[in-house]
Amino acid sequence: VRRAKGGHVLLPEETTVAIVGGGPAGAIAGAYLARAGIDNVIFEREYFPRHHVGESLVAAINAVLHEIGVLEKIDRCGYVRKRGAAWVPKSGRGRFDLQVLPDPPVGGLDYTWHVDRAHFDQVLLEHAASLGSRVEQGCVVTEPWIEEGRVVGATVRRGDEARRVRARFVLDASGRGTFLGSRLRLKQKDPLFDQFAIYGHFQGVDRGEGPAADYIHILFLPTERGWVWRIPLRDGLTSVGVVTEREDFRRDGRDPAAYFERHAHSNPELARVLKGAQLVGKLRTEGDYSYSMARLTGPGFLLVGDAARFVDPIFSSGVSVAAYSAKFATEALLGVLSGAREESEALAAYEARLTAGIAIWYDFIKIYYKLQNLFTYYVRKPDYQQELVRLLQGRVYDPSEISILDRLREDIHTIESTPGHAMQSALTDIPM
Amino acid sequence: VSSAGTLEEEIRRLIIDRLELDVAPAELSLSGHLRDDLGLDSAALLEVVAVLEEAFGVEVDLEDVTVENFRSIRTLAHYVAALRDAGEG
Repeated sequence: VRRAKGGHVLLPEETTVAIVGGGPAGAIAGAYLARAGIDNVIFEREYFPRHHVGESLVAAINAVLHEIGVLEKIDRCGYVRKRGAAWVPKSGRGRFDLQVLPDPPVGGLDYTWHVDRAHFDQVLLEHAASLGSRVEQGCVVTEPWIEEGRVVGATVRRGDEARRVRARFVLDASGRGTFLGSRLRLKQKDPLFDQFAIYGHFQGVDRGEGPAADYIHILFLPTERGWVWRIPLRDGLTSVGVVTEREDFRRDGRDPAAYFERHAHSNPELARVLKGAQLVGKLRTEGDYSYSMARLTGPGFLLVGDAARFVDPIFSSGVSVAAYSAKFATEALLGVLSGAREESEALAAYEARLTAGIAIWYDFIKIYYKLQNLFTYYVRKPDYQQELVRLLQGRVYDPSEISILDRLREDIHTIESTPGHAMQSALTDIPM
Repeated sequence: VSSAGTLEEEIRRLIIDRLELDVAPAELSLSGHLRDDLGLDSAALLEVVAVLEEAFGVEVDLEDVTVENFRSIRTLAHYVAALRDAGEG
């Protein structure tokens, strides 16, 4: 190991796979590669633990956590066990609870978790390191290193040290920082969604009793496209986040605390459970909402997780997309590095697979915002419930299994095209 | 077979229960406007559809969810009765 004059370890000059970002996508990718004996370095900007939004997982992630051997470790962390979701109408009345369990129950666990991300992300990153990933924190990856149209590495800075790191592949797991997406001008703002979230952790929220006390609660607001997440965390903390259109926040005068307060109290049920609750820490905001990329791969690089695409978080899809994109991307890389697959074919296959999976989430989200009640109507019907549960579990990577979305689209068309239909005014202006 | 009177009352009771409406059955007029009087927004009509389907074993075609059929408890009862007759015939 080479050291600088001050004694700290110097950044490497070369690696097989340089991973930009040590969040779940980067850490899981590093773990898959390290397990296969592929040399990789994870460059993380922060020093963990660090705060991150997105606490509720979906069941499909358990299979990935199991594959990289971290499932039991996660299970011992004491996170609140998630076995379902509840939806509360804007009136506060007529809630709907739905049990959603991992299927199959990988590792014998019939639940996934609501995690505190500062802790969870650190466990994953340390796990990758324990498998052999080299983890370098406090490193800002500033520029891709491009030779003859191929990404061959990146410039990394830590303190006074700057180094060009050469890599056979650069895996961009930089999250909503979208390192390569921005530098290579691939990023496209979503034409339909410009949402915005204000959230915080609270002590003393009335979570209710029984199994649903540990469900994620999605509460609708009278504001169009407005909703709230209520996620039970360990140590009695509850994450509460108001999601609305950014334009609405702009019009409102941009006072986050007042805005949060007003919207959180616009749903009577939320107002009730928040009575007497205390904010722990500060309210935070997240903008820079939904976007996609012109492409997810190119010569020498792949995008994974939020760096590849970000969709509205209403179905808690984020961490599972990070996990599955890391899984699929590293499968492609292992094929190429072993000489079994040709690079352009393997990367194109990865891109097609991930794009199709996220497209299902996106269509589901679009339909949901078009007419929320259509979802709760079908999810109560035994014939359709199983397919909707499969979506909510995050099993979106085999499109042939998902026909319910076609049914929902047909229904929306029927409402739009039937003269005198009583529900036309319920449809939002989202184009289908 | 229930008479029209009890069908209307049953639908009224089911809607109040399912939508957790804070209203006594007697306060909810059978001919009153569901939307204007009860403040049922048009999206909540799918809840009404679900109530009818589950309680009466009928299948509501989405095309039938018209302003005409879903105006009041009374028009709903007519609609359900017609669906049942069609099912029996």
